[in-house]
Amino acid sequence: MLDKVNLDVVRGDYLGVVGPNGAGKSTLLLGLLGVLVPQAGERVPPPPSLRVGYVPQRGSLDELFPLTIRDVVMMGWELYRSDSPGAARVDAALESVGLKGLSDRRFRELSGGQKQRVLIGRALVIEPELLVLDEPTNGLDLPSEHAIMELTARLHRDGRSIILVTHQLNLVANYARKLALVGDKVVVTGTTDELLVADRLTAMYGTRVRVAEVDGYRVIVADPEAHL
Amino acid sequence: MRSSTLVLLFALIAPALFAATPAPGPAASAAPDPLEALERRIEESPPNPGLPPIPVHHDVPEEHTHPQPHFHHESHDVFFAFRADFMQRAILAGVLASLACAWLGVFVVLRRMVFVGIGLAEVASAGVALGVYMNWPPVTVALLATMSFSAFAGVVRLRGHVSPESRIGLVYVIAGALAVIMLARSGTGEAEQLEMLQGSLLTISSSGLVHLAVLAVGVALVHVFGYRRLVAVSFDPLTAHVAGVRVWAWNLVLFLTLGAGISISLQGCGLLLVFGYLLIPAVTGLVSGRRLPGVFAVALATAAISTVSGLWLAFEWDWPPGPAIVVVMTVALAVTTLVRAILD
Repeated sequence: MLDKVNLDVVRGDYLGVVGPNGAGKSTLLLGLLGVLVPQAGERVPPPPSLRVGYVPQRGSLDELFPLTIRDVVMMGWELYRSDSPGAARVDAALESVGLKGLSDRRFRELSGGQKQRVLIGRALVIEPELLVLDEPTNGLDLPSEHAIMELTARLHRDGRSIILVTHQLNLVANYARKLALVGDKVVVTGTTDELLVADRLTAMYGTRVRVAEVDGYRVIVADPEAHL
Repeated sequence: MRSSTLVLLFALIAPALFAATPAPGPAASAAPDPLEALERRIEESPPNPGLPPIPVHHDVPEEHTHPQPHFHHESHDVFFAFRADFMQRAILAGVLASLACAWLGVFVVLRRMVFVGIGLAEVASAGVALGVYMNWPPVTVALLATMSFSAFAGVVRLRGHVSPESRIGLVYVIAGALAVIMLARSGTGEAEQLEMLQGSLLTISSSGLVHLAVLAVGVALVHVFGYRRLVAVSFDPLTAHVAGVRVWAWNLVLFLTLGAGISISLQGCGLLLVFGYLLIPAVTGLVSGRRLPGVFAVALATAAISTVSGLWLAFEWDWPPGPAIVVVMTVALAVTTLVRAILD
């Protein structure tokens, strides 16, 4: 349950939505997307002309389905349109996520990182202006995690607005410009510089947090001594 | 394949194998003999010029009577079985039911709702039993019962302390108990129970055939029109919702067509065969097909070919038709699994 949420998303933003497990990040996201309706207050929907690409958590998909990569990407188009996207459009979406030439491989046989790329490709096939990603790096190893985050950064540089929900503070710390910190029913918004400070994070997570800088990158860790 | 699916497959095949080798016993000899009804129907039907006479055994010793039709003949013509009018009707009915149920079965297996399929079949049984007991049209009552349950299961998401499987299990047990009680209270209880389990493909009426034809055409139209949406809401309902697709409505369409498919097929095919059609062709398709269209194609082909082969086997080897078709489908699944294992 979230209370008194006030969150603006502006064109060109790279917004990271972070917070502890169970704080309500996914609830906030589903509210933004219109899947959940607020019990009080108002959600101003995005303009109908705004194309929104949604990338769900991999775990929410049923991998028993015998679908190829091409089938999954085409589904992203067919959810919005009654015609076929055409091979060129599907190939372009797959090329943008680095999976060109693999379109006939079965989705369930891919690695976690490749599946995530397919899902981003599926969202990109409608050429969205806003891309919304829910925990895209869950369960990925370090190189795959880095590759996915670099991909989102490139898509942002190409002119797309990004909303990325994650529980991994270190990822958004170095990619997002704006943050929405979700914790204990409240949402605090601001720039990464404003919000990623030790005192605020310590209060939000209930454990002592340290924020350091290594080679120009912001690193956030729980204080090991706090657990002793 | 999930272990629960394998267990359900075994549970399906085991009674079919036992039913294929019936042993005479007090219960069997006490039950009204469908053979006699079939023989009466054949004798009373007008002669069909150009077809060989239907072999009817009047001299079966009483101690060997059992509730299965008996069609042994001496002809060496392998197509002899297909020339009889009642066999042609049985094949047509079986193929129509098998195509509708096999198509729906792919969604049932992919969406991991096999238990819902069993629950719906049991609700349809209870509907038939209620119809028999109250002297109402059994198919209509079964259709209404399954459609109501389908609408409930497809739309309502009750919060509670038990899993959806447990709730479906409750429905299954209650519907089964009610069906047995109502059939026991009706005048022809045991015969009705047997027919509900094994079906009556060989004696299917013209109205039964029409019902099945309407079902097959209806399922085909709805699912061809809504194929992409049904796949999308089954694979990734959340993204479909975000895209503006009415997920609840498409779920309802799927559940309603499933309820109609099960209830209409039940009287001709019986509980065992309907459930077999829902499960085995779909699993065969999933074992062999790389893509969804291929899975559907293999499932439909398995169901239709197994129906024709199973009925031929039933005619030639004097097996009950429903279990014979289940056994043939199982052999098809075993062969497909073996070939897939070799190719992989």
